[in-house]
This record gives sequence, structure tokens and C-alpha cells, in this order.
Amino acid sequence: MTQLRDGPGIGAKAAVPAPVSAAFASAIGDYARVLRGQSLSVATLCDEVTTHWLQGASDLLADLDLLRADLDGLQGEAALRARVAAFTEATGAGLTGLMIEVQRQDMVRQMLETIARMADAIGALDLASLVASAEAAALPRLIVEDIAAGYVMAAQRQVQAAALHQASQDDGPAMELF
Amino acid sequence: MKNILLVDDSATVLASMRQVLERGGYAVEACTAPELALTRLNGGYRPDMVITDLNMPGMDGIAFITAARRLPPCRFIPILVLTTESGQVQRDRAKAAGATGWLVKPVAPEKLFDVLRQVLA
Repeated sequence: MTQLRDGPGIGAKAAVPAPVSAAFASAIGDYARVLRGQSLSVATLCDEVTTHWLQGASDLLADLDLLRADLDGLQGEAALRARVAAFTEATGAGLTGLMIEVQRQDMVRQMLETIARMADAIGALDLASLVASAEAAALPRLIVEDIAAGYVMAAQRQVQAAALHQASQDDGPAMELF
Repeated sequence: MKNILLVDDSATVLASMRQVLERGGYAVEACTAPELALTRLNGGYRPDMVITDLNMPGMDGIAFITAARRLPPCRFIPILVLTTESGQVQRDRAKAAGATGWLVKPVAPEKLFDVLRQVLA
């Protein structure tokens, strides 16, 4: 993360009254801590929900397998057996398909962790330094640029591009064999 | 039964992928870090395919592929990248490192199995 206080030309103390600077630092620090805490809590909740859900789906799939095995040993009533077999097959495929959705949860977790890192950077903003010059005032932009440089998924870049009215560079195919 | 080595730092992604692949008839070895996967490969484990995440703490997927390709027995094992990334620069890096293909998360089971059948044919 860029050290905003170490930017060029911002070493001199600006004419910001100490109480104002302190109030700003306190407020922005609280803001950043709350945002970070909320983001990471949501990420943890996502993980817990996904773990429970994954276990539940796994148990259901195991039950379906048992039912299917029991069905193979039953005699008579072919129509009913076929109907139950079709049900277990379709339900098993459905549950398996839902399991892959865990990948989306993992994307949510990573995006929330990025928000927490951005909160940390915002919390380090120092008003006295920022008002020292126009150049220094533009330094908070580095927060966005630094965070963007650390993006680990296309979805993050796409969201940022849309927010900043920029073109997205992530337009490759979802599957490609080299 | 074909063996697949899964590499991803997310325990939940590993768990879900393991379930999906095992139900598709594949045997799965899962590693939460590329370094662990390399240890398994160095120890003689020979999967029919490797599926790796790209962005992981420590060694990333590109470095892992590069290291795996340096192991003579792993030179021709298909390695698929399964990632949330879709940028061309990263794809080109993966290709240059020796990746066989690129899948963007989330990937539906039937599409995943199509690719696996294609690559393992």
C-alpha cells in the first residue's frame, strides 16, 4: 500500500488548525475501522454459511446415493422405481450444480477483503499533509490505483471500470484451451 | 479412474470442487498451497491432470506451473488454470508458463466435465 504521508512535496506542515486535523484523523480512523470490521465480518459470515451449506448439500448427496443403492435392491413396481430413480438423478445433478456456486462466495470473500484494505488506506489519510499542496491533495487517488493494481479477479476490475466510466479490459472467453 | 490434483488456497472452493469432480467419476487430491502440490509431485504422485487457481498467497499459479513443468514427469501433464481472472495478459503468462487451458470461475459442472473429457481424451 502506498504511504500517502511520504508523497512528494507534502513534508511541510499545512495551515490546518491542530483540533481540525485531530478531529479529521479521529473521524476517518473510526470510519476506516468500522468499514474494515463490517467487511471482514461479512466475509466471515459468508464463509460460515458456505461451509454449513456445503456440508448440508454433501450429506443430501450421500443420502441420495444410499436411496439409489436401496432402489437397486427393490423388487416390483417398476414405474415407481423408475420415477424415484429419475428424481434422485435430477436432484443429485441439481445439488452438484449448486455446489459449484461456492466459487461465487469465494469471489465475495476476496472482494470484501479488498474493501477492508481500502478502508485501511483511507484510515491513514492525514488532513494536514493533504492540504499542503494540490499535488498532495490528489494523493488519495493512489488508494484507488493501488487497490486496482492488487485486484485478483475480473469482477473487481469490471465494477471499478463501470464506477469510473472506463472501458473494461476483461473481455476474454470463459474457457480457452491453448 | 482419472486422478486430478486440485490446487486452491480456498478450503471451500477445494471442498466444492472435490465433491463435484468425485461425483463426476474422478479421483481428487486437493492441496491448499502450490508448495504442497509440488511436494506431492516431487514425491512421485502423478495425476492425470492438474487444476490450479491463479492468485494464491506465496507462490502464485504461474510460478507453480513453471515449477511443475521443470519436473520431467510433469512436462506433459495437462494443467488447467481455474481462476476469477479473465485478462489477456495473465492468460498469455499462463500459456507461456506451460498451462494447457484457462477456465474462468464460476464454471458449471457440465462445462467443466466437457473440458476435462476433451483434455484427457
